[in-house]
Amino acid sequence: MNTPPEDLQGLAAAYALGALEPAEARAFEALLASSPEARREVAEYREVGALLALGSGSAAASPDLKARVLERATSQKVARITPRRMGSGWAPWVALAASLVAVASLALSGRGLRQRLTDREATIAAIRDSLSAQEAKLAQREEELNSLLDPNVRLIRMGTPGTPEPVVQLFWNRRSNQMLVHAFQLKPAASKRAYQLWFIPKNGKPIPSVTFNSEPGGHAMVERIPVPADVELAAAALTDEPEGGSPQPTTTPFLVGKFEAGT
Amino acid sequence: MTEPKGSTPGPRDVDLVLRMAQGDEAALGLLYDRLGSVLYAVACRIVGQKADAEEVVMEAFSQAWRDAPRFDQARGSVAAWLTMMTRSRALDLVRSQSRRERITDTAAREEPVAGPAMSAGFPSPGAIVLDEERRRAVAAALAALSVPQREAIELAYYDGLSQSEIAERLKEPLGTIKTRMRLGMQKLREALRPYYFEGAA
Repeated sequence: MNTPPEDLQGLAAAYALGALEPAEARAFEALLASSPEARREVAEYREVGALLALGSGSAAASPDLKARVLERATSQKVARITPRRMGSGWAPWVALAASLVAVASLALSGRGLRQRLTDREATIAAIRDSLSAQEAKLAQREEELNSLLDPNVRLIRMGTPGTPEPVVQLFWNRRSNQMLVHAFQLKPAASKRAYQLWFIPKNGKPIPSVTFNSEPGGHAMVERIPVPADVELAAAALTDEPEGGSPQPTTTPFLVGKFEAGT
Repeated sequence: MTEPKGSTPGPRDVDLVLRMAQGDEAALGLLYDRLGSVLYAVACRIVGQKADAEEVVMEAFSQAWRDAPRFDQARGSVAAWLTMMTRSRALDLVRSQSRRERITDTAAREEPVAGPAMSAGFPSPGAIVLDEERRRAVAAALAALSVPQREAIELAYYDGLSQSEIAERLKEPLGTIKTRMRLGMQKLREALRPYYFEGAA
C-alpha cells in the first residue's frame, strides 16, 4: 500500500492521539500491520504524546495514592498466560478485556449507586464497542478468505509440513499482486530481531519486503504485502534480521520458496 | 534513533516492567515513583476531579501490572505505554460521566483539583532535574505552536475528540483541522525528539 508521506504523517499523528474516526482507525491499522514505517511513525508520535503529559500542569496526588495503587494492582487475580492474539496484535482485544475487568473491579469497590450506574453504562458501552469490533473483525476475516479463494491466487510453500521445523505459506494474489504470509512453528525472533521477507529476482539482488515476528505459539500472519512488479521473480526467502529490517540480507535465508511456473 | 537526553538513575523502565511481569511489586512501586505524578497530572486535566483522577491512576497501574507480560518495547517507551492507558481510562471515565450527567443532577460535586504541587512523588534529585528539563522543553514546544494548532491537539488529547468532532466544535472544515493537527504534531516531534523518555522506539 502506498501512502504519500504527508498523509502517513497526518494519519500516524492523529492515530497516536486517538483522533481518527473508528473506520479510519481500522483502515489505518490494516496499513500498520504491513508497514514497519507506519509503525515507527505511530511509535514516535506516541512518544510525543507521552511528553505532552508533562504539559498538563502539576497537581499533587494524595500521599497515600502510591499505597492504594500498589494495593489495587497487586490484589488482582492475574493470569500470567499470554492470550492468543489474532493477526498483527493491533486489534483492541486486550484493551477491551482490560476495560471489562476494570469495570468489574469498580463494581466491587462499593462507591454507591451513582458509581454502579456509571459502571452499567460503561459495561454497555464496552459491549457495544466489543460488538462493533467483532463485526469489523468478521468483515476483515471474510475479506481475507475471499482473497485466499480468489482463482488468481498461487500458493507457495516453504518448509516441510509434518516436521517440527517452521512451515510458511505464501498466498500470492496475481491479480492484486499482493501476498499474504502465513507461518507456523516459527519460533519468535530473538530480542531486537525480526524475520524479513525477500523477493529474489531471476537477475539481480534480493528485494527487501516486510519484517514481522511470530507469536509465542509460533504463528504469524502478514497481509497485503505488495509484490514487486516489472521484475521476473524466481523465489521468496526468509532471513533473520535486526528488528527494523535490512536493505540487503545480513544472514543466510533459512527458508526459500521457488516460484515455479504454474505453482 | 536519537538518544534520549540523560537517563534516570537506577533500573531502566523496561526492566521494571519485566520485573512486574514476574510479579515483583517493588518494581511497580519504583515505576509509580517515576511516572505517577505525571500520569496523575494528565488524569486531573482530563477528568477534573481529584478522586476521579486517583481512580484513573489506580486503574492505569493495575492494567500495567496485568499487561506487563505483553509489553512490547518495539512499540515505544514504558512512559508512552502508561500515558496511553491513563488517557484512555480517563477519557472512558469522562464519557461515562457525561452520559450519566444527562440523567442525574450534579449536586454532589467533589472539590476541584488543587493548584500547583506542594509535594512531588519523585525519589531522586537526578530524576527531578531531568523531569524539569523535559517539562520546560514541552512548555516551550507547545508555546511555539500556533494557537489553532495547539487547540486542535489539546481537544484530541484532553477531550478525546476525533478530528471531525473538533471540526464541528470549532466550525472549521475537516481538512483544516487535519492539517493543523499534522503540522502541530510534526513541530512537536521535531522539538521534542531529544527529550523522549527512556526506551523510546
